[in-house]
Amino acid sequence: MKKYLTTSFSKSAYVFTGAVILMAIVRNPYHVGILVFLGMNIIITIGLSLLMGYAGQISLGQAAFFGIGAYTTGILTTKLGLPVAVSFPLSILLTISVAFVIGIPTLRLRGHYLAMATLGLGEIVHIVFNELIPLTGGPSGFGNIPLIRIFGIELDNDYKYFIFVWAIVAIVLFLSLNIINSRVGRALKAIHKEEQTASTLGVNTSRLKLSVFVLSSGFAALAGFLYAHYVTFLSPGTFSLGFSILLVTMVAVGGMENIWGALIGTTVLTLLPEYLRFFKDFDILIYGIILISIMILRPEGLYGIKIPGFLLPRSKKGDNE
Amino acid sequence: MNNGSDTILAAKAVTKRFGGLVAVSDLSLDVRHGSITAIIGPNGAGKTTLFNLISGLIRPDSGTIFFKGERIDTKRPWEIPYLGISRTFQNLRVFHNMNIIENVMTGRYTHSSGGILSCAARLGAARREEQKIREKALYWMKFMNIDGIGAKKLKEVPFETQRIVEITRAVAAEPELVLLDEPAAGLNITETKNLIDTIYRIREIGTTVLIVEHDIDLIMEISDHIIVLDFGKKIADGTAKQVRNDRKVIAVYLGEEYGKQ
Amino acid sequence: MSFASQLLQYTLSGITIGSIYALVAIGFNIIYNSTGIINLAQGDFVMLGGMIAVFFHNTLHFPLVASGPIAALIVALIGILFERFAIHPLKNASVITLVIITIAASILFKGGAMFLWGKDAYSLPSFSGDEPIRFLGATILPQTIWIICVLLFIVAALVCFFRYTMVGRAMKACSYNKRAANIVGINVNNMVMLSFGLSALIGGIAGVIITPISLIEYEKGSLLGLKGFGAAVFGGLGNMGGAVAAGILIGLLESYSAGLLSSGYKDAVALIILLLVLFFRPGGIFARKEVQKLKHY
Repeated sequence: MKKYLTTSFSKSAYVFTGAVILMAIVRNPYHVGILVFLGMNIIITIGLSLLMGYAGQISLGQAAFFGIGAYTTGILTTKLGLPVAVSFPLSILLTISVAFVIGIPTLRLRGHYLAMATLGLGEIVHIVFNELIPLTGGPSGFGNIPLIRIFGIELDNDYKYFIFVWAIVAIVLFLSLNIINSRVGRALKAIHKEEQTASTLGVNTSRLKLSVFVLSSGFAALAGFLYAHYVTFLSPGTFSLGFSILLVTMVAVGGMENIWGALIGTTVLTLLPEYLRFFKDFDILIYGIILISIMILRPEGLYGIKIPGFLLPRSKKGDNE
Repeated sequence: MNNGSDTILAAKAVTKRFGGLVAVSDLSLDVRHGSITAIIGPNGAGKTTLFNLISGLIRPDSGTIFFKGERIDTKRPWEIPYLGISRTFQNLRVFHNMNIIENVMTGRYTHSSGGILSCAARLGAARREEQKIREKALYWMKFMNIDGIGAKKLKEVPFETQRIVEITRAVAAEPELVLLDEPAAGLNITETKNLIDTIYRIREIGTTVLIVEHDIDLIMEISDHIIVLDFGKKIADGTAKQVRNDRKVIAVYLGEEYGKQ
Repeated sequence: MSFASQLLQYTLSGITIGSIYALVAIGFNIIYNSTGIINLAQGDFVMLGGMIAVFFHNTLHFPLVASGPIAALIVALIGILFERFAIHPLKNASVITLVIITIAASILFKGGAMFLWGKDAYSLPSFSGDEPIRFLGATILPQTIWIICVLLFIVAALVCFFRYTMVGRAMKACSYNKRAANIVGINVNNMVMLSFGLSALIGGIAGVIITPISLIEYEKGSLLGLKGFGAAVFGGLGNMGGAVAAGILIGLLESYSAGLLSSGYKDAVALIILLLVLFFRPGGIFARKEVQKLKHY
């Protein structure tokens, strides 16, 4: 239906436009840089939101997929000198293959098992980044990752990169909103509430869960690719268990049942520590307090809280993501 | 098949145990094409278990189930609706995280095929498919007399309507056989009358109806064929009249209401 | 040192660390059996046990013999409070919410520990000196013997608790069938609370006994928890005997691979085992019928 195309499309366009206006207001390269990272985080958490809020599964290994994407493109472009146009598809492909292989056996099991399996995978990947010194440079990492050149423009400053990253955020959002308002999205919501009932409607639940898991890993790899060519330097610390947990926290704080919740939660938790500098040393404690309070007091997350309602994107009639 | 092509669903010597409890015991039955067939029996007679067996949610310990001559008891639950069987649940399983039309649209899952990537890109084919799903959902909502409430949330409509939404979801799959598990539970007299009407109309479009129900009056009124279960065993099988006059049935089940007459 | 005595050395250190994994795995099982929840904060109970013992001994100068038990009891109390304030109020929560709640608790415990004690690593003195005991060419630290004895004591105590005490039997009944337990008058609510307390207590004890030989810091819990979970799954989730055997087995494999292959990948060993078991034997390696009967002692 045309209306639906326009809504997914226009919502994504609003987000992009809003981000660009924000950049024009902020201007300071340091803060623009933070918004670039915010964009990357949002790309990951949109995928995680599809997985957690819609398919009802949890992954504590998104940092690993983020890392595999980043290291693959980093290693291919620096060590093998491949062009970015080649390393890009390869980094996504490798990540989703890993996700596929790990997803097949674990998604048959209950939610806890997937959480732990992805946690285990995350730690293994982290260890490999640290130990595979000839390729990864070990704990001290490696640098000199080339910049991205697109349509003849080298993305060599924060502003250009900002536009690039947020354009991709808009694309990812557009695709995800489309999924939510489709037969697949409805099947996912059905799985989340009543897995057995979903199967009686013809939904191959394990296959669909696997598809979403792989898709979410692909989004994480995409963010990893963007990260590698922005920071141009990779070290294992970025891809730790802590980051995986932070990503899950972002989605849960914003509200799992809704993709906009992921955007809100990610924005709050990415910007909060930057603007509350004095919390820096206690950030973990603050995250813990925020997360546990929200899960106890408002398990559905920040999205839809009445007070700042005018700030939130409004759903149109008959359309419900 | 006993009755040849006339039989749409056939169970042969099906047994299902849960631990020490025999829920369905050596049960054989035939459901005739185009009929309204009812399964009745006291609580724990194995009626819902039978539905779960037919819809593939559980597998029999022994025995076989055929649908249109094809063996279905070895199939996975999500394969069953593709063959033309859909169902409702005794405890009303609708999706509260979707609005009403979306609930009905989930019933069209087997008639659509877009994968996650084509749905994400929403190019021509996926868009046309989505439009068709919506049109069909609207059509079936109209058929079930619940048009105009598609954008509402489930909690905004009464329980009766939620039940109708669940039945609409099952009917929207355009099945050849629909399984209704206690559709009249919790409905008042007027609502039950409407339900009877609806069931007749589902049968009129050529769908076979297999129904489990406690409301004996409703069953006696609408059923072409009644199968009576007790402790997982079939104790009677026939028309409403035959069953009503069956001694065993009167003894174990209908005794209180009909035995006195 | 000959190869044989070297191997013996690896075996001893494998059993030592394996005992800790076993204790963590037992902790996982106790909560799993009573609630079906996998408590992702289990490893943090170990960290808290170590940290609190350090606080009482090093900062408040309590004697070690008092600091250890006090620390373990405080951790048990933390476990109970966690259940009361975070798990208990959530009725009919989905698995994903429960997972996130325990993650939140884990973050909170870590954050609290960092807030109170910073990012430094701490240690406790050994319970009975550091004079190594020579044994067939290998050396045993007295603390190793303590650790093994504590594991054996806890296992024996749990067997008695679940078999001979009213409360233990009630807990066991809850793990079989909550509703039936409720009908016969067992307060399921209290049993769930108790299982968190017991599980935290065991985690706290593990923290106290490991701190003398392995430094403790605020982040230490995650990896211990993950490996302990590996042991719990390896032994079959809910299977206490399996947890002990699997914990020690993982400790041994880890120690051998550190000594004979590469120390950098030693942490990966337990995790790879975890993944392989999840993939191929999700019921655990002992998941045969006759062993399943031993599940709850």
